[in-house]
Amino acid sequence: MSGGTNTMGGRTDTRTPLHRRALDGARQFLAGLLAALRHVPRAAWACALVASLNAACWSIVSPPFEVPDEPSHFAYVQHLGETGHLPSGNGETFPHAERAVLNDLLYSNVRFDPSVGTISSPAEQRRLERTLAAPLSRTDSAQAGVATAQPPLYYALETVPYKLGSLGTLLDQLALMRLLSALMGGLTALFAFLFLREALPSAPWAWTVGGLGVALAPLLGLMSGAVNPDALLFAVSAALFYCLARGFRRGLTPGLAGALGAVLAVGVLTKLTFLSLVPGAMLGLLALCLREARTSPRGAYRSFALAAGIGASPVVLYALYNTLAGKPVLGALAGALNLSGKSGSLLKELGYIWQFYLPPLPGMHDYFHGFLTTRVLWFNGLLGLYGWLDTTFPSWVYTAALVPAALIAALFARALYTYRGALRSRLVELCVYLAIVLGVAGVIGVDDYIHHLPTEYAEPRYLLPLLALWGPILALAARGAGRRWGPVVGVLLVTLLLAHDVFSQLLVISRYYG
Amino acid sequence: MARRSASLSGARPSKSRTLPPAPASTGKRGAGPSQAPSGKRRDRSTDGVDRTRPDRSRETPASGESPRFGQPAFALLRHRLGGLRLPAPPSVRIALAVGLALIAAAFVATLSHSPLTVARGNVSTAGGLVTTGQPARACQGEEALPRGTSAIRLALLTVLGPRVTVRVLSGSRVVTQGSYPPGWSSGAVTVPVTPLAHAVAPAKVCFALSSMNAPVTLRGWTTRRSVAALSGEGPLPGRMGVEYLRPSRPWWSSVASTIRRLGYGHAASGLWDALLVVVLALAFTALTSWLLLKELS
Repeated sequence: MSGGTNTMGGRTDTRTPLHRRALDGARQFLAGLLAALRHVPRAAWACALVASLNAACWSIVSPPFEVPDEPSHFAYVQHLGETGHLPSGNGETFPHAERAVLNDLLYSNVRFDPSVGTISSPAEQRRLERTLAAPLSRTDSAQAGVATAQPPLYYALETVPYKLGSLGTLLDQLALMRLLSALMGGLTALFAFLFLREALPSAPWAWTVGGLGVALAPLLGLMSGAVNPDALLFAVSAALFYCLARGFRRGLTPGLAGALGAVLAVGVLTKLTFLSLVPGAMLGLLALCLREARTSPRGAYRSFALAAGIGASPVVLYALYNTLAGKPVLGALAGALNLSGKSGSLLKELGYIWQFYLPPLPGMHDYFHGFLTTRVLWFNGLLGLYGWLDTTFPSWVYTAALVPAALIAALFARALYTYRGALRSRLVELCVYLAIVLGVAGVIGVDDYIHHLPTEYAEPRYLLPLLALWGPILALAARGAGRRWGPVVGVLLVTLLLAHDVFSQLLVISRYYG
Repeated sequence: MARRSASLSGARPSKSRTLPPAPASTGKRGAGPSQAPSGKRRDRSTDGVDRTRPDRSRETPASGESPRFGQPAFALLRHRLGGLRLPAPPSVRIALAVGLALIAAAFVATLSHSPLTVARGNVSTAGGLVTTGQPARACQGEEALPRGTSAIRLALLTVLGPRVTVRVLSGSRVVTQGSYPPGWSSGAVTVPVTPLAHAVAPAKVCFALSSMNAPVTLRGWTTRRSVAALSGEGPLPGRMGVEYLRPSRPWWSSVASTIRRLGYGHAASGLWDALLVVVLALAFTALTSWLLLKELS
């Protein structure tokens, strides 16, 4: 370090007080982090491992590039890794190397058409191998399709496995990148478990039920087994729920405020969708601050400022950079955030968003003809809609699934009734979670409204930032079965979800390789 | 109200009856809330009660407890019918064994099931013929349906599909029909129909689109007008892509080819992919089972 030698032959400490404080702070932070990691229950790590293994399995089962927007996200990482610059065009003319591989994989034919599987002959495989071995350009296009407008954090992380796999083929690099996403899937399950521990501290056995329920969610496996910033988005969103629950249970300490701010910053740098969680998160931060202010006003406001400051720093720095560079203040994000695509009254927009999720109310104009969006778009979609939204179970599966879904709903309702007193005492906390749900649902609905094609945004994966809430639903459903039957029902719920996951993967195998 | 309901957050209602603590806790579990040092990690419950310890006595009251005034009606009923209690629940181990056995049985049943495969026709290379946003109907003659046809796949592309109704006619007689509800999205829709006992040729396949939600593109191949599909407004630019599906051999008979195909187009070729999938699936299943036994027993 920066030490010198004194007259006695010992080393003098020439570091400035500020330097020393910074080092002490870093040391304390690391010590705190290690202590916090030591306090994470073994069951939480096990849930994270289950989620990672599951996502790794999905990463093999899903054919390369046959997961929503994967070619665009791969192109982003490829451009960043090869040139060190962000992509600049939202077209889909990807670099030659990627285009040639997509062509040999029959990507365009397989996508959207469930009657067409992946390549199936040795001749097709040999042609692909020849293309993979050819020295094709990876820098002849800066386009990354829909990914171009997204913030760079996930893609920057993915350049590490991309570089590590540079001795192999493009498909080797894709496989390694998918594995990094799988690790992020593990983080999602870990934070979901920790959220449960804070939210429902009185029944530790139920944490495992909820944690495994999240870990085995097939959509989490699908998206965490692909190159897509959703993998990190889900993890950050789960971390946000954990931080808020921890704050409501233990109070807003400066450490937690810093963590909450860091989570907000990471989320904003991960995917623009995270912005839909920010209003609810800020409401939660405000509620925590007001509670803390009853005992220590100065500490509370300092913590609030710390969290908000850290959380807003990426946006402020980005805007500052753009201003100094003479670009539009929000740069490429301005286009992505443009919500003025369709004119119409606010009432009309609200009516559309309502019907996007729920049955129309009397007097509403009917936007969706002949079907119930709640059932078809969301229930069926969350139950089984894989690949490029082109892989579904036979119709009877969706009908049969109504039975266990109704049972889970009934058990959950019973638990809510049983614990109604406790719920009432935590009304503010519940309102914060509800605000986050409404934020996410509202932004998806608005996006769908302003675009020309209906249900373009009716992708169940867009709801997965709320996946952490699935854990408490399952845990409460198990507890709703009562003290004696709870663990048994919990086991049956988890095996049901395991079956859902396994048969979802079999469905994908049959669709692409059968 | 809190006195009448169990606590979600571990709060101890002042007059509630304390039950014995729940068994089994993990080694590290206590390191969570129960090891929270006072001060920084103080609990912020509204009633000021220390909630840093996970309180396992807040579960649903045991079935033998006496109901007090104001308890829910079903609890009172349960007390009155105390002699008709549910039998003791099976152990977690048995529940897990039953669950896994059911999954294994469903797996075997799935492998024994015969999936629908294409017996005749083609939709995969079909291009766009015509797009409509209005309810429409059309018929296509000179079709041949194989025996056993139990679904008809039509090459229709849309983001939000309408109701699709299909009727197959031999002369003026309807030989089979079926419909598919709105709300689908894909490049083709598979409409289940009443299975055909015999092959039918020549046949006319008619379809109708109703409950429109978005434009639908009919996909097919451009042909002479004389053989093109006919809509109410005249001939379409060509014939629409149609596939006839019927149950084929059971899944298990194509396991080898599926495994071989899984090795194509991936980073690792050959049998490695299939092997990895099996190993990973067994690993997360085993880990899930172990965790359930450890935490819930």
